[in-house]
Amino acid sequence: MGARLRLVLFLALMLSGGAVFAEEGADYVAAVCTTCHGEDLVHQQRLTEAQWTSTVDKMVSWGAQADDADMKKTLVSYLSKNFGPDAGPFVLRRVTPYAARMALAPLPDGPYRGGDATKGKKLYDEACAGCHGPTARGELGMNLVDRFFLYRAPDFASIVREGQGEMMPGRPMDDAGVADVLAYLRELPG
Amino acid sequence: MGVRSWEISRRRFLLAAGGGVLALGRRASAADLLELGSSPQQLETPLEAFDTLRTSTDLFFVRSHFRPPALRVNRELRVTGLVGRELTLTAGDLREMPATSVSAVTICAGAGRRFYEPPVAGVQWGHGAMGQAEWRGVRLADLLGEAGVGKEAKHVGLRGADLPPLPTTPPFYRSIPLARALDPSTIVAYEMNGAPVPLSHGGPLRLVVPGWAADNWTKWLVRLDLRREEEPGFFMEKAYRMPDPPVKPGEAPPPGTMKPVHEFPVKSVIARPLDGARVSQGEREVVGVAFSGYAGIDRVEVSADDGETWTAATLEGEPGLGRWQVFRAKVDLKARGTVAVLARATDAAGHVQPRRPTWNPSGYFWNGWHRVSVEVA
Repeated sequence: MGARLRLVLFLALMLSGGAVFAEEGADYVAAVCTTCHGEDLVHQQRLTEAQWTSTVDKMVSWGAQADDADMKKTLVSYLSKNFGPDAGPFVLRRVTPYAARMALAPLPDGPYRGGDATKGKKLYDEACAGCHGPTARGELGMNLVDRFFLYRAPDFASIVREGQGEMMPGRPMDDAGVADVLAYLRELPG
Repeated sequence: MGVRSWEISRRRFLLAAGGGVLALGRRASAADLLELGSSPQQLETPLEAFDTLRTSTDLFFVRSHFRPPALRVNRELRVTGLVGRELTLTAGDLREMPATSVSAVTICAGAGRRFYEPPVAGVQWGHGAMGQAEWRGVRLADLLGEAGVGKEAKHVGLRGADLPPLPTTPPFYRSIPLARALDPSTIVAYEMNGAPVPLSHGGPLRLVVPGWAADNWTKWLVRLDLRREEEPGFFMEKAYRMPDPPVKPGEAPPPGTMKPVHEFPVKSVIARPLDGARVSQGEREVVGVAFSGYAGIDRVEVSADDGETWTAATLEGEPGLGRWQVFRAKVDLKARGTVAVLARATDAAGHVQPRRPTWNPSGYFWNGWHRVSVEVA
């Protein structure tokens, strides 16, 4: 094999390997970090490898599902490469006050009103408790007790059905089922 | 209830949508918040808003450790621990008690974190993590008086309803010393700028601790717990502390030297001109706000030659600890080219805003001279 071909192959391998690596790291961020905060909080950091290591360690101790050594290594490597001290400025998104307010505002229940909490508990135990815990206070998945999003039924329904990120799979649930689960969760004391 | 409130919210939607279009047509930047976090919300106030004594609630910065709880106007606040009798109160109950109002600066301890070198982890706030609102509520001293403070009590534990997303994540529990809780300026607020405290700002009840950084201003307040010791846990023992004595940039402080962040330091921020603005030659006005957590503002000086010479600014509003005043100064921009405009404040206790603050591991309390570059054409 000529030196030139060898070089091309080497470069191709390096580039594709790098791309796979970066993609995997980005997938981990989407899967692991977003239970608690948006990816934007990650992207704005400008940290050294040592700082990223201690940040990931802290987050793992707080419950982030990245305790596997290989996964942690990939994550830290991706983060230090892409969000290191020399990564350049982070551009802030502009948000209208109206949009900021509406992101938290209660929405009308619409087709999800009038649920039955007893039926909801049964459905919750079957479909949700595996990840969100028997008391809905979070385990692998996030805490669902006393949350603002319990009063945004249409959003809640679409997350139940379509899923969110890689950790939360969607599942078919009819309107009455969503209404019942919501009725149950809203009754749980904070 | 459903149909009626939906009609109202539809009308509000149409009104607000119209307002939004107008705002965009006018000037998008001054009317928008700057987003550092979408969920939970971390939103900065645009610099242009820092030219008034009261920041509008719409443009007021939002800092959240965790996603907010449900909006419950009758959410209960309990007073527990070393008290004569435990109390359970709602915002409605507090409205029956003698009311007091305070105009005070709310500033995130991490405001300006992104200006520190080397960079540190955390929300990368610029200058916009601050605002001044009029808060109305009940003196915390009155509430504690009602409950009867036990002789042993030295601290007041503060808990909000913002539960962490996972049970393994430390809850945002804090405490303030009893003396600070009994200070007449410390209030449990049910109103912000004349309206019920909105969910994003901690409604229905939020603690207001004028002069102290906002980590002490517990949002969604549900518990005041009289105790002997400080509240334990991550957010009291590890976070919101700075090394005393300071360390070199990038260095880890020796154990036992981390002190809690309480009073925020003297600071001024320029609202106009904006960095990068193009102005014509001649007299131009510099406007901004200045405040200190230790005392009222004594003076603000402005420089248009990168700190060679300084001009005294005039101050508007009442001076007071933890309260900002608006400053205005005229500078004469004679030469063409790039000019650095600076502001520096001095408080009545003699603290002078430094050119650069001392680095600290969490990037708290940035209060360096605000420097804006303008193009004089």
